[in-house]
Amino acid sequence: MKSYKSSLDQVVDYLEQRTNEMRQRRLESKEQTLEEIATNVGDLFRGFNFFKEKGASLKTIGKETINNILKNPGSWEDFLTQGAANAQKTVAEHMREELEKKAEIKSKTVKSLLNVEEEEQRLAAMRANLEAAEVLLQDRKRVLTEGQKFDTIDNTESLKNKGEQMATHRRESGQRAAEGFFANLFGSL
Amino acid sequence: MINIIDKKNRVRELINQSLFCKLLNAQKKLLRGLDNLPDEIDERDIGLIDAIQMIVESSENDPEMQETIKIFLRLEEIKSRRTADPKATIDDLTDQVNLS
Repeated sequence: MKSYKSSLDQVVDYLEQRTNEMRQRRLESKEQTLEEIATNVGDLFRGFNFFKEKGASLKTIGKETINNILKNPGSWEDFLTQGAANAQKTVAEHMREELEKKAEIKSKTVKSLLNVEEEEQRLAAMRANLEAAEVLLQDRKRVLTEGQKFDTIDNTESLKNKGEQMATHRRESGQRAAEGFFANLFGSL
Repeated sequence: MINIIDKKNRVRELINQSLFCKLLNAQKKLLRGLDNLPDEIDERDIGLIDAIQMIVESSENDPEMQETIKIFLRLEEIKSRRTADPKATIDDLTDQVNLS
């Protein structure tokens, strides 16, 4: 016997199907949220661990930087760049030590190889960060050296203009370096 | 039964006041995560909120860590103030930091 569904039945079917789809979608988005939170909590914990392990070195770097800036406020950008670079080195050192610890523990099991590989990828990303930091530092050094050249040459109008341009470039470069460092200082943790 | 809304509010407040989260630039994304978290999550997932609370409170309760965090936040303030005005004074920014 052949049966036909009434229009009302079809609407009910449709609504049921849509409700299921929407429920599924909501569940999926919930999973996404949880995963995102889990990642962020993981990052927070790594940051906490870093401050626990390297707090003393970090504090020394910070204090030195502030003291240097107070003694010579005109060179604040240079000191900030230097301080941020030193802090970044501490991050790198910490990551290397954590990696070594993990490798040591995990080498005992074969399945850990996968995790170590993940850590290596993190380290590679961190190296890329450090390389970018080096480039910024080199750029900063170059700009500073060129700036000094202008200071020693006689102050004709054209040189003065060039000197001003250089000062602007120098300021921008320092700003870029400092911003880059501070924005990503703990980002590779 | 655990009141998830109360718990979220408490942790939200902690995140807002946390210098550690501020320095790590983590406030916004942690708060966004909390806001997006459905109120009917199960107990296993509530562990995530507990973890945030534990980490933030531990950082607050560690005086050494707080001091280091304050120093770096001062440096950030020095940077933003001097970027806006290269001749801006910064001495007052160091008052709350023990430099000895």
